Amino acid sequence: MSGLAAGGAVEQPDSFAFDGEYGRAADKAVDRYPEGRQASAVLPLLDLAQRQHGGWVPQAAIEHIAGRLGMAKIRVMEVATFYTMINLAPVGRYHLQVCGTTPCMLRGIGEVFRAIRDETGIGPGETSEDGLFTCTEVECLGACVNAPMVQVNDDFVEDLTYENFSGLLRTLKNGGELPTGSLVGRHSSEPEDGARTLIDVPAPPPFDPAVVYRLNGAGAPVAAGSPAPAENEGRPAALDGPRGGNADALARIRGLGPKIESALHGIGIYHFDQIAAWTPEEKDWVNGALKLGGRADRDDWVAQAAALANAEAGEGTA
Amino acid sequence: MLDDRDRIFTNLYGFDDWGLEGARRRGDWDQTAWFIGQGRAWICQQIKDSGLRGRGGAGFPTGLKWSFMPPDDKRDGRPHYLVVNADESEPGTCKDRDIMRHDPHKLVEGCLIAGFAMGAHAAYIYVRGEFYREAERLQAAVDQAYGAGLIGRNASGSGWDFDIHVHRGAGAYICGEETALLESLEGKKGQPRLKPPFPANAGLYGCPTTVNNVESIAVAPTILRRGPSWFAGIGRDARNTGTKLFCISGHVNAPCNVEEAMGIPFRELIEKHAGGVRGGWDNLLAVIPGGSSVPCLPSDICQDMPMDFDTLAGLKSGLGTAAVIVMDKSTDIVNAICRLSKFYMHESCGQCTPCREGTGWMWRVMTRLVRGDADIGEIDMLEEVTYQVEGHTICALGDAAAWPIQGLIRHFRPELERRILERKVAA
Repeated sequence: MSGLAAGGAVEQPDSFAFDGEYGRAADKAVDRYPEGRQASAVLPLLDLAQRQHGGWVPQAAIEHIAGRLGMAKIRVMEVATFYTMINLAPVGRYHLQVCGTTPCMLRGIGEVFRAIRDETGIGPGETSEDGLFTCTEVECLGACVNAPMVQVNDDFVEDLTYENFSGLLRTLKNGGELPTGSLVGRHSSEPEDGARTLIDVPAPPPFDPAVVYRLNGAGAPVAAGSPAPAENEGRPAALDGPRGGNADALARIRGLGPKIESALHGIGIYHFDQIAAWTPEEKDWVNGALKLGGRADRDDWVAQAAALANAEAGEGTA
Repeated sequence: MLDDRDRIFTNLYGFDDWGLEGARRRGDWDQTAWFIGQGRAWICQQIKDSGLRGRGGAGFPTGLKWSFMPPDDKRDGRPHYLVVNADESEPGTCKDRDIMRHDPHKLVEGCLIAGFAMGAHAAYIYVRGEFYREAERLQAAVDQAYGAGLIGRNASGSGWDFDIHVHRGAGAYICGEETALLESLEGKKGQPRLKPPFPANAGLYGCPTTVNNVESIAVAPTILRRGPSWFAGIGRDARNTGTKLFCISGHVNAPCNVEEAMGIPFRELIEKHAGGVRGGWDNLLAVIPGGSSVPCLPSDICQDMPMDFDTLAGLKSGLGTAAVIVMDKSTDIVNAICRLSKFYMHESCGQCTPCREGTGWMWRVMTRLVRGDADIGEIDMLEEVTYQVEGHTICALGDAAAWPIQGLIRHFRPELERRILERKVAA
């Protein structure tokens, strides 16, 4: 699974040590983990070594990291060869990591490979003669709604076509700056022709526990799907508690789950016959107060409740 | 369509400020200490009541998962850890990326609340290595939160000390499996562990640990703030609640990420949010509804199906990560699935034989099926092999490699046979 592997004649430096900003970053990385767990820093250090050394990790860095973290060299090597982002041989100045997985394939990643071939003469696994580009086919990079896409060094470039990626490669060849993100003008993951949601989002009101949570008799907070007193018009008659201490199993009603059942208890509804007796206005009130989204209508709770109430009554007299 | 006011990730596209000021405007970090003051059990119960199921793919109830961590009276002196799985690598999936780069404070605040609810003083967020810019942004948000006293000692004035560390991976799909992730975080190869012991007993560094997906953690503060009944009131039924980030990719006119109600009908999702199927609705061939690991469904099955955990499981597919990969009739469906087989071969960690050998074997047969270079009987043999791999490995990668092929054979066998017969006739 490793990234570019050392395939024979790679010229290796004699020694390696972190210096400058990389040294400070390495110290910080090691400090993030508890005492005695410094091996956790192996990936961060391999990444830092790769950055300091121009895009690949020499053997000397593996040895240095092993010494620093108190690990056997082979354990560091084992990690370095397992992860695709660790390169054990030099790569070009621009590492074109081309996503070849199905979502990018469906959106035409083949055109991107063609652009790379036409502009740089290389294909997957190859480095251009001028050392400017290395091309690697990688697996899904997680930007699928902006497919096809390529990661160039640390940055994603997205929404690619043959033309725009050819242009990007020419820019880089001419010493220009890497454009990042969408190349068709999208801001990020919104639809290309403009966001259809999050158009007008009001700022939420400040959180007030007294509004969202009220205490019931047992002292346990319950969520207030329950109504504010001023909005009681159309509210069905409430019971203080279930008759005889036993509530009906309201969740037997199709489309009514345990969450809604407890919310119904919160507004004093405990029995099938109560629901069976709802007027259309009362049903609408409950729909609004408990945010049922029309469920009570869709699954006709009133009729279901009537049937269940009859069945219960039948059981009771048998 | 879900009302904008009921959306949690109101800066999903990043048009607003990602930083602390913008986050506060969007309602984050508002009286966080009050929630912590209600206690561990209360928070877990609220999340249970909301019906939230894990957003990383498996759909396990989040509140229940949190409550598996040893309670305060059963602690044995070992530290507890929250580990956030930001190793987003399931093909088709790119939602956690948007949370980290555009709304990172939702995740940071969620870490504090979830971490407290499981008795943890530290969280590690494992971000896939390729998300370099996203990890940078997340680290910047963490730094802002430290600077404002929201995390660190006496986090948000709650009396609870809490540290958050951002850890980058280095390119390995398997590290999205929770125990492989823990191995990787400990500085080893990302190879899954045998369970039991489960991470809640022995996870990171042998200590009680809970691993949660980014989205699961990031929605928690809003659920608490608006109350579990608000969240539970969205969705098709009590087992499939809340809002969900969908990633719509492939052959649609306008691929995008969008937060919608759990259970939104498939056609509504595609037509309202993604501009419809390329070439019109009747040009739909198939969809992979939940990331590459779940079986594809042909157009006649998926028309109006509600996009939720239980409906899709009932159709022998899955909601997974809600990464919806749409394929129109121009798709070479065999090749599309074959490319997934190559993905799983590449990403197999090599620990279990059925997966190490099976993924390569399945890919090789698939490449021949793409060309029709096979015997009809090999279709059954391939299917049989998928069942030999499925369920016989330590982790679910073996299953994930098997399911797309099973879906292909279940729904597109005539296409496989056609290719074989046409090649024989041509020969």
